[in-house]
Amino acid sequence: MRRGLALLAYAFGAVLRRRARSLVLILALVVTSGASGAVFLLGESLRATSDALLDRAPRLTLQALVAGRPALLSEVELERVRSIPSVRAVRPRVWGYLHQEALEGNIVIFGMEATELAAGRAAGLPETLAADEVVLGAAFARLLGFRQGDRVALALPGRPGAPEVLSIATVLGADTELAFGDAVIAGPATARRLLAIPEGAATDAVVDVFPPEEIGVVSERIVAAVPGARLIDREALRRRRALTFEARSGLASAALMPLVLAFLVLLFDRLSGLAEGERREIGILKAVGWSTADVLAARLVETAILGALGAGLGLALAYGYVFALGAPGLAEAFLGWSNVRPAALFVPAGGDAVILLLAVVLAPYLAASIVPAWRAAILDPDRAIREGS
Amino acid sequence: MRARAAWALAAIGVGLGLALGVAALVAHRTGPPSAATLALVDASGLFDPFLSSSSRWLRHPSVTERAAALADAPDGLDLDPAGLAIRPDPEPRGARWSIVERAR
Repeated sequence: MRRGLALLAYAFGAVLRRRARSLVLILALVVTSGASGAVFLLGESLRATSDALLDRAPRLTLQALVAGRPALLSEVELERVRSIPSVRAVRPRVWGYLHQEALEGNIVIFGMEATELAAGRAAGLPETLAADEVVLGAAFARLLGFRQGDRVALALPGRPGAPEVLSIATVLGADTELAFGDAVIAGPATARRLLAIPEGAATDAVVDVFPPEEIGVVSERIVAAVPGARLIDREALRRRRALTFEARSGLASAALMPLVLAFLVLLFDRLSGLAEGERREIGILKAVGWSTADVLAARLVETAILGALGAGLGLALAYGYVFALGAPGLAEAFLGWSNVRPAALFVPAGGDAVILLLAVVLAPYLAASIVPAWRAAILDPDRAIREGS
Repeated sequence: MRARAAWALAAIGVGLGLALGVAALVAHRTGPPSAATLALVDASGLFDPFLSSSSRWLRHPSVTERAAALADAPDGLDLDPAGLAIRPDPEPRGARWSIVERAR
């Protein structure tokens, strides 16, 4: 106990005595752990968001391809799919994009039937939408200053004539911005008009298969029934998405490697180069009875104090940067440059990920400090005192 | 000596406490998307997060739309024009060729 207290007291005294070096190491660790932490937290939160939404995705989505490009599904094709055994329902969807040059972004127009509007009542969707009524996503409405009850004119690209005049039935809540911030929800006929999709055709279709074990067989039959059909299976997406996010945050982490290496080199250099005073100090400690193990332990405790302070502060700053400030600078690299963008609404990663990150940051730091600590601990006391004086 | 040892422990405690505090904050804030968002996902069947809307093929990478830049790879790994240095999924996608009969 007494020995432990003495080691702690000595280590803390050493941190204070070598203030400049301690500050440099803490700052370097703050920058390294902060930068790694920001990339890690942002990547993990995007992954958590994506996974949570994917859980509610349709199991099977059908698209048509013509000349290798996605095309509209016709009514005949949809009927063929409906007639396949084990297909419980086929829900054609009418949706698409309108690019807004002024905003350097796209808005998503989605046509909803009354049943779909009813399913979205929890989000504040009205029971019905008149021919000129739309529901706007929060980010889009905020960007253009639109509010519930406004009547707005929409000039459709490539279609001369009078612009479409639309009434804003409601604006979706900010809590839906995560996935629908850029949405323009309209009745099916209005969506067809805005997107120039002919009556009966669909952008794609959600296929409900029962029992789900039959999905493989049903998929084969759909491909045979609809030439050029492409099926998007939720479970395949889940696997691919995990790989995508790992690759993305892996690349971002790889970009940080020079920073980490520079830090480790700095650490090794700072801890290896013993000043004259330090050598004399170690020599005296050993002369008065401190063992090599004691000196080694004291040096490692000194390193641990600096490491805990630097890494803790770095991670706290990374948290504030990502979740309080919305990761300015880094978010653009992950999310792109569109003006139609969500506010900082990331679903954070699990807390255990932070502990893992702390271990990942501190392990190389402690490993890199062992050799210099050992070299200091094995100094011959007589030589250390002579050379240090 | 005791005071210095206490300061040393406090310094380590503050550092680790900050890290654990961050972990606790993150764990506390972890939660699924709002009920309203999930209701809209159910109603529309569209589920890609609204992260990037600058290009159509970035907005819904899971269900690429008409004339998308990479229409044949829904949620493919190479959505970004710069691509990835290493493709982590070596399994080929799409139609696979097989030899039915060898030329003599």
